[in-house]
Amino acid sequence: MRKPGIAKRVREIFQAHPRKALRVAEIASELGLSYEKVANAVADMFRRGELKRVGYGRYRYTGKQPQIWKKVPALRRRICKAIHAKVTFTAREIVLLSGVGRSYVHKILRRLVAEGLVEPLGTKKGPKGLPEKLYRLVQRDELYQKYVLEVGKGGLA
Amino acid sequence: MRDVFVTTSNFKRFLELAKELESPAGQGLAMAAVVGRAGRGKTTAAQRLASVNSAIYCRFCDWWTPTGLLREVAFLLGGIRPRATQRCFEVIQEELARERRLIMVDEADRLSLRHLNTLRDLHDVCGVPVMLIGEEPLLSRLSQERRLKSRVRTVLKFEPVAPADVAIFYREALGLVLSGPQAQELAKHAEGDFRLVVKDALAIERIMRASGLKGPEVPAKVLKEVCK
Repeated sequence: MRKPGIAKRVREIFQAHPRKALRVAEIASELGLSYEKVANAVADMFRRGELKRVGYGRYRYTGKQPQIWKKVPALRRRICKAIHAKVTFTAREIVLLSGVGRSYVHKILRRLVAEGLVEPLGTKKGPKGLPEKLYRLVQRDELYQKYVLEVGKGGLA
Repeated sequence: MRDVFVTTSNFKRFLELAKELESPAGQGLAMAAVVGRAGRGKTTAAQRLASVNSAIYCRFCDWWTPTGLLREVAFLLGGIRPRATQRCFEVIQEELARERRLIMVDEADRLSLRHLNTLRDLHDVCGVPVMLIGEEPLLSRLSQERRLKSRVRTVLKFEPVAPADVAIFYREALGLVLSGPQAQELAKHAEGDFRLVVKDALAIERIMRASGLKGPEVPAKVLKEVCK
């Protein structure tokens, strides 16, 4: 009978300890495999959203199905790439950088604020002298992984 | 004033350079340097390109070691930050094997020789186009090592804002038409800085609105008032 693959065996270990944060070295010793092989499998599972990093080098199983295909709508991706590059920004700056319409930028910003990825920071005087709402990206990596990276196409994880 | 991204001559040349570097013909000699004084629009051009294109934009931070730089590039490409340098390199190689993408490193004038050589290794081993963006000291840093300097295919200098760019900006953002001498005077007054061009444009718009003047021409009196 064919031996199960490394990813499957690693997944089984995580499923056996659903609440525990595991280290690569622990899994490697339990499976009797090399550190590198397990690290590669864990990295792939992390990229697919199956694992969550809960500390330095410690991962917990999310229970999500492995994501083998993820496509982010092009305009949303442009907006989020511009936000990721700017970090602190106004909606006007994102409109200029991404080239996407003002109303759609505001819609995405409302959504990102509701998700806690972006937070309002106050107001700043715009070039016209009128106050503009200032935002700050608080969860930089999460935004990038959720709305910029695509899975299974075009070289993105 | 309308919010428009004006394609200045600097930005046009920047786009051409990015296209040239990304083309498969550029493989092997795909490093470039973009230099210019602060306020010329280098960062905005890079951020705009990264937003609308598959290129990645990486702003260098002083506390990054060469491995830290590799980790950031690995994250931007693959979504993970491996601890080991070799693993970072593998992630980058794996992702770039699927699609050739331009890596833009901003604030590159603050990179040490070790960082620059790390990027040279990326360029040589993965065949990835690398664009270094920074102020003038970047060129002297690159010329410290011949193998670095020889790999830089093009040095693009961000020139001061040209009168033609000023005229295009006024037409697209304000719907005003400037004559040649007027555009020249405004460009001179802004000292090549695009932020000052925007500031002058707002002042002109405000004065014209307050005086009940309507375009498309800008009266000489208004221009004189702004450029005094």
